[in-house]
Amino acid sequence: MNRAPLLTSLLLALPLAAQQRAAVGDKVPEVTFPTFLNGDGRQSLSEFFGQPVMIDIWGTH
Amino acid sequence: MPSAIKHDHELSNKGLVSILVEAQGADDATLESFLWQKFPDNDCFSSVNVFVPIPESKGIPHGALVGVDGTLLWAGHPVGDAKKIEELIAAELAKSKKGWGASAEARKVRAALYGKGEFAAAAAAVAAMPEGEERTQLQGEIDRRYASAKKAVATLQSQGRWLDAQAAAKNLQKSVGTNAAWVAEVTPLVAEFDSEAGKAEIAQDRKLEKITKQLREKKGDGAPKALQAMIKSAGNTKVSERAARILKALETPLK
Repeated sequence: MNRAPLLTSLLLALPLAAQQRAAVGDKVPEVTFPTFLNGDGRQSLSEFFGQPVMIDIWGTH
Repeated sequence: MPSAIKHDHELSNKGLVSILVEAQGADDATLESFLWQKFPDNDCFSSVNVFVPIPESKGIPHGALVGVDGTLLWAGHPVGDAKKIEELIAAELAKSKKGWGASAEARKVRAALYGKGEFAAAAAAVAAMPEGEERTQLQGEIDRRYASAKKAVATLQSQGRWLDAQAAAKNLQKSVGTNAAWVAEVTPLVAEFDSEAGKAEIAQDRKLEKITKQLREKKGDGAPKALQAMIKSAGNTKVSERAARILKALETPLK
């Protein structure tokens, strides 16, 4: 059985899955932050469960 | 960014978590330099570029508010939605304080766990619940929260933030009450601050705190010299490593 087409479809679908975005009202998919300045060891969004989390996306330029 | 820092200063002690994500390609060292030089009073969790799965938004700054149960409550540009964001944050902090869930028992457990930070009270409330899916879920929340709180002590120590680590350890000790298993794990964490090495780290961190206070108040012209002197006399401590990182961040020219 030639599995190449199936594998190709799966590989093409991967970036879409990785870029899945939540809409307001949805549960936010897991985010793992690589490193944190001022962190306390929690690296994943799910580890903040029980507290509201404000995320501010900004730039240094 | 300034609004995020303001929210953090006003509401972190009530439970708000503020996360800054730099999205223009800075690396960790650049981020640290930028924050120490431009925003020395920043205490937010701060990270470099990472994909955040919220609705696409053109331009920066933009952001999102995630509720206590992981639901996306708001996404967009913070400047135009300032009032709405403040109302949503206040509502979530109230939810965290009162607890939430389908049953009165779940609300009681979460109020103790997230609202008051009392592990012993949360565990007692779970123990009084009938066996079932809800009880298992809540027990899991307690276990994960306790593991995070315990990990925080070691993480803060490794980062050279020994005063913060000591406060975290004392809070944890207070919150676990007389639970034997937890007490057995937390007691050595607290005792470490009374060891000779722990006392040395705390003494150094008190000195570093005075220097960073000047930086935070934008009166830090003498901070590099004070940091150099401290590093020279501090010996091999985690706090002196942190002081060296801060000095490097202050002295690295921004691009």
